[in-house]
Amino acid sequence: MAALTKGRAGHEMTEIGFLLDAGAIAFSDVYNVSTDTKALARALTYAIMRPWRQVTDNIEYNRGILLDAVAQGIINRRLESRARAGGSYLYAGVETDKTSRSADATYVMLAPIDNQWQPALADVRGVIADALAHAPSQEEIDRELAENDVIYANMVEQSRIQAGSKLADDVVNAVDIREAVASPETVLDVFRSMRARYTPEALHERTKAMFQGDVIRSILLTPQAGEATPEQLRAALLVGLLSLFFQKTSTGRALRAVADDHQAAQSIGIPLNRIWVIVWCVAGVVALVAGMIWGSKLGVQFSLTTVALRALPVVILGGLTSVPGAIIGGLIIGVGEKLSEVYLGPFVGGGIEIWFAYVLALGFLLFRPQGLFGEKIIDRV
Amino acid sequence: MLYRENGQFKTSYRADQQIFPIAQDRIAIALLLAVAFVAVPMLASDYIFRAILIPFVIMALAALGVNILVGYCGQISLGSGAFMAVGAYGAYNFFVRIPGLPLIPALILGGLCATLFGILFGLPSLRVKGLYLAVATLAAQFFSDWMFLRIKWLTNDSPSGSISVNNLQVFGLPIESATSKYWFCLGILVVVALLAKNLVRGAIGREWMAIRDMDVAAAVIGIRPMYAKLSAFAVSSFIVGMAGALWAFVYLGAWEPAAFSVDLSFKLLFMVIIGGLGSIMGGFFGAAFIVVLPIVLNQFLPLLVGLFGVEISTAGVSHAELMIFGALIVWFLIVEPHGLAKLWSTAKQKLRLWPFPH
Repeated sequence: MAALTKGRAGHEMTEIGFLLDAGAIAFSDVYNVSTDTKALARALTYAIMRPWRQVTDNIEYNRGILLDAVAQGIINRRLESRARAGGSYLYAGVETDKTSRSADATYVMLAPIDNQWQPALADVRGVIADALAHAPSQEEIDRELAENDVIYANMVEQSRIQAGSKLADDVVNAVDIREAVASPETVLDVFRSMRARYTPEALHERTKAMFQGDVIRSILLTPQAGEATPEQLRAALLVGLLSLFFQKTSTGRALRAVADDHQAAQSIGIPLNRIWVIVWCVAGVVALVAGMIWGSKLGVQFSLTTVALRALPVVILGGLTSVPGAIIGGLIIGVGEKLSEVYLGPFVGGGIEIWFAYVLALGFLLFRPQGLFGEKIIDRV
Repeated sequence: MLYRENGQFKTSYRADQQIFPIAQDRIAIALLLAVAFVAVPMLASDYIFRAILIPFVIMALAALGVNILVGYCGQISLGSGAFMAVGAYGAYNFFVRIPGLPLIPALILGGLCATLFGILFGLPSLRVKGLYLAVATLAAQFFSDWMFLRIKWLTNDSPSGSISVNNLQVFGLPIESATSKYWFCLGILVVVALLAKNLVRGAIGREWMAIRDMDVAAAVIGIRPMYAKLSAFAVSSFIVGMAGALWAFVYLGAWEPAAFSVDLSFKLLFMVIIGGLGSIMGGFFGAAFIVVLPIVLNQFLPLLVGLFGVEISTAGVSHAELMIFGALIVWFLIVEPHGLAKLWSTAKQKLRLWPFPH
């Protein structure tokens, strides 16, 4: 019998047996790393990679690195607050790193809750899309600067008692990527001397540069084989940033909040009028584009009004809250209608085109009410 | 002054629970029925019967049915046209295939066909709601369009797809003249409206309303969602199916599937929304609005613009009619989102306090 105790007084917190009953699988610390596959958390890392190039290692370049650190800090803080607010991931972070004179990469790491890595990935990319779309606020910058100031000042104070291994690491790293390592004092000086340069615009620029690259590579760590295929991972990473913008950014979230409950949305300060203008404009423009394409191929008649009715099963099939769902639903309905007419029609007397889409959507709803990519509707009482 | 229940004491539960507990209401309804059954047939011309009164009565019956589903149970349906079609074709098939079947049993059998069809397409409502359900019921609409066009057996193998009935009789009395058609439809409407009113006041009606207001809460307090939703679909499509059979047999006489297109479904939904969701009265108001207003506009528009010395063509009138009609629908819904029935009940409330409002 063993127990977990707290402090020198030995205040008992719980017995180990209870922890095991509660589902604890393995205990680990710095020296005893758990290698039990059941205890390994799911983790997804993807990297936006650029080729490594020799840099001109002057003070301007290092100022750029400090700017990057602040921009990165802001994103990481947003990711963290999203996770705390009940996001679909345990933690997520962004990090830039140069690897052995071969690659200059921006890593995005996240640990999804359960095996729902796709929504977790979409959430994280949404936060990043938001950061790419809008410059950060002055408030966020100030907060990050204050925190970095403490970190750098702390490094200066602790430089005397720094472990030798840390210094050795720094030196090895400097040789590895051929960049100078500045003393903590220099870092603090440079950081404090460039206060005026931490503007929202400058940080926005650095953020955008951080997420530009030639290739994306990713690793998904799963406790069991077969939880995801490479194709699924690839598809999840290839979803356009534009649709993520609509799904996950503040404007997109405001739209969905209004759709959910007008009054609640208004009471938390979402400007209803502006949202409605946006919604109707976007809907009108998208419908206009669809109408123009349809008209140029199949002609314009008044009976086009019934085409809009056929758009309903498309969004239902794809899922009401999903842009890619609408595209894929459209393909399924459009192709399915014609194929069913050709292959099934002759058996039942033809003309089944007019109801096939609806009955397909109906059958689909019975088994998956939220559609292919829609959000699962959960009733909370 | 005139309309208040002061001094009308109830001494039994029966008296307290009757449909119209206020004596003035009972008198008004009796007067209204007398006018509808006696005075109107004496005054109305043949044109008014065929163009306004008969369609109004049948549409009011259909709107009543839709209101039970959409207004009382909160299940949006865009398949009402299909339920009407199934009622009409079902009644037709029984009427033609069973020799000597009287009209009223044929109508009821048609309504039962619509009930089965309604329950079948109401099954998705157990899983989905809102817009999703609207799409699921649209499936019923388009499926019935196709079914009655392509399955020749249902139209008694008529080569043109158009079918007709004649020699309608009820208890040996021919339903030929406009007045007799009107009386027949009105009689059915009154009976069904009374039944519907009692249904929605009873346990089942309360279950429907509980499901409409919050399905989760309703399920928690022990209402079976499946039973409540499917019974709403069944009752609603029975009434709508009867209305469809009347529409085909009495109003149209000869018809084809296009008579029950998706436009009719939308019209019925508009009637219910404009008239007032969750109100038996609302169905009547909505039907009057949708059926009568276009005709009134059509008749009075040329006169109205004539006053200003402007001549408009017939095509111009029908275009203007559509535009004004649409604008009026939008305007009404902005002014009174709860429909005409709400206006009616507000007026009644005001009348009770008149002439001393607080």
